[in-house]
Amino acid sequence: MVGKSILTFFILVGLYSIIANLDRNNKFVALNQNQGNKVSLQEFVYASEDEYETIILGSSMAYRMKSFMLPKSYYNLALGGSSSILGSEILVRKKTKKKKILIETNMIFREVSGAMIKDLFSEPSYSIKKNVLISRDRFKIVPFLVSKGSSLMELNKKVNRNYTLDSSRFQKILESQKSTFNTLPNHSKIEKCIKNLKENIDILIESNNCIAFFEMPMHDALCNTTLMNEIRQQISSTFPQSEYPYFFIDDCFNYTTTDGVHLIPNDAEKMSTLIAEFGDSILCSKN
Amino acid sequence: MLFNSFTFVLLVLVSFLLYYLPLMKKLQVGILILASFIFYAANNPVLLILLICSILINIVVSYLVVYGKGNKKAIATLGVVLNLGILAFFKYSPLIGRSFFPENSSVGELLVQIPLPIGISFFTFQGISLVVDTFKQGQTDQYKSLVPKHLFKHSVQTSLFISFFPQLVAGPIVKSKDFIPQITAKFLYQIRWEQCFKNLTTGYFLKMVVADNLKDFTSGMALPYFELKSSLNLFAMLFGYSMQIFADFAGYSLIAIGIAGLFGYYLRDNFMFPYISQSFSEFWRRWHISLSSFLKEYLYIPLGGNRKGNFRTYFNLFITMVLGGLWHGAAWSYAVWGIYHGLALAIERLLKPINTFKQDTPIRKVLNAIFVFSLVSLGWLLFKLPNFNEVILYIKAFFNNFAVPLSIRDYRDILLVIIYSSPIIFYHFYYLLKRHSIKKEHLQKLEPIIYGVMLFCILTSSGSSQDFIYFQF
Repeated sequence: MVGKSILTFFILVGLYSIIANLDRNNKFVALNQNQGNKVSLQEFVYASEDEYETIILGSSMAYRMKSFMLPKSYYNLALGGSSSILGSEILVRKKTKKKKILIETNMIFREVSGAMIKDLFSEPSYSIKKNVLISRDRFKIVPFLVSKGSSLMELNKKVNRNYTLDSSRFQKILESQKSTFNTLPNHSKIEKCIKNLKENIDILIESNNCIAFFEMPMHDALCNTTLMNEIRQQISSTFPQSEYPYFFIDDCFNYTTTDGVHLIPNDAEKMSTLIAEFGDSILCSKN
Repeated sequence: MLFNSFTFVLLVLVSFLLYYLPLMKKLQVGILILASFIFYAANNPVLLILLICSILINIVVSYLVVYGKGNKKAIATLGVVLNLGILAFFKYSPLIGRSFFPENSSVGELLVQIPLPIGISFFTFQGISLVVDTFKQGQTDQYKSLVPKHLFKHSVQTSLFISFFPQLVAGPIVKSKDFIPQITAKFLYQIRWEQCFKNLTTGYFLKMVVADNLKDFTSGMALPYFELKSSLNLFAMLFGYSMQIFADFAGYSLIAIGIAGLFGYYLRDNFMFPYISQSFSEFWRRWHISLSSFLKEYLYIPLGGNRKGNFRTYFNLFITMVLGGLWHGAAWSYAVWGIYHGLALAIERLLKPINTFKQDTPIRKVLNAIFVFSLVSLGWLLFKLPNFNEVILYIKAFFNNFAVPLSIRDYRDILLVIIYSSPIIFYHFYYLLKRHSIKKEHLQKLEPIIYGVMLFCILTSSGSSQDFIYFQF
């Protein structure tokens, strides 16, 4: 019984490897935020170093700028539920060199998830996932089938590009966001996060990378909250504007969000164009 | 150290190779104890001191119960109190600190900061089992095998019994009378490979493919997110959580049983397809069997069981379940969960004599199973949302959000909960089929395909790893 089971396993692995290799560039639809993060990270970590010129780090806010909205030389390494710090840690671990790195500052107070880094870089997981295509999250059976199904049915065409929550639910969640954004997290926590980011950025600069900062627009009522002002203050004192390029948003009212924080697809596309222009305008002397 | 981590696999492999080396035959027990200590110390080495203290207490107390000259009942009682004292101090101090001391009091703060050592609920219960078993069994041969005269041998046996790594941090809880007699020389030819393979494959599949994927869809069961979801989504998430908690815990137990089997130790089943239960009493004979049987033997029966009249029976059931609830966690919601199950058991027992249905038709059996499953699942809300107010808000949201529209993504999430839960449904259904089918050999022919597919899914469809839910208990 054991032998037959193992034989069945190898037959399935062989068949699925053929299918996965034939379809390795399929469009992937993440079933949830965590999966989207993992696929994005794995594709970046296991990809060749020269595929991208500009890398975007950030949270779920910058994640809204989908790859198809950005130029091909851009890789969006923004991670839902996380922040630029995790992205910068990944770049340090990957020994990234000579790239433009655009850092979203909005959710900078989120600490790094050690589990995610361990999952990516620890052996033997790293070697298996780098070399065995079907062990990567992109080729998990259920999301793989859902992605195929979505492509076949062209579901994406039906996505409402101006989708927001209905007004009562929107107001409810906006109130909750206001309360969060008007409460300062522990001062030392923000400090620790920024110190962590600074250490990573120093290493990245030593490797001839160019660093720039940007802020994602959010609902007008959240743009100038206590938390956002504190973050701006701490970021600009650690990374002075005289040394780093910045892209500020002073017209939050011109953007629409689904829930106060995340842009609707149309405005995410608008923002992608602006960020691409900003990225292209940065002159990187070290490159 | 997670069962699905590379470090753990390495620990098992190295221990296994050394364990069966002919040169090491006399050191087999020592190898297992060392592996268990490494396993326990991996996350927080300081807590190993606590485990060793617990082992020492139980070595001394059980030895004195058998060979001491004093009042044996008093020594055994002291042993039980010491075990419960350790459990209470580490597990319930934060709850006492939060509940009974003002927010800024120094005592309250101190109590809240006491760390919860992983697996403490399990290894202290095993200590109690050793003390009580040695006291209860009197001067019989079985009793002497539990506590040998030679103190060193007794210390080694007790150390292995309490620290045995496959079941150290999340069970199954093993009774000393079931485990200690198994401590003998082991040989490779004794291993039941097929059974170990089945347990390990099913266990890893349940944990890595079912539970770890479902957790991504039940993470929405948190304030304020669930308030925005439709009733159908809330229902699906609760259903998914019910499946997740089963897959997580039953998966862990099967892996523990499988690994123990590789080292020649037989651990009893901890789950027996609980979601087909047609009554609460049946559910508790099928869910976390090692805990139910421990509570029955060491609490319910000593309290008088059902021997002291109806009122006392209901009372005993109720108390056993409340304490069983509190055993799970230091939060009042766990006590409420215990009360909920205690009441359900008591009411079920109360209604039994007036149950006029003489014949159990298949439809009635199915309806009973759905009814019990629904109420059990509702009870899991107290596990997922340990703040009782949040449980109320979840139930309120369920009744208020019927009109909330569902997006394509909501429908997709519901479908995915069903897809990832389907192996659990199949798992139960396959058991029923095997139990009632006259052509079992036909089903057995399918097994290599089923286990091959499970192995394939472990490689290609595991979710992101997360601690086992029962680690927190």
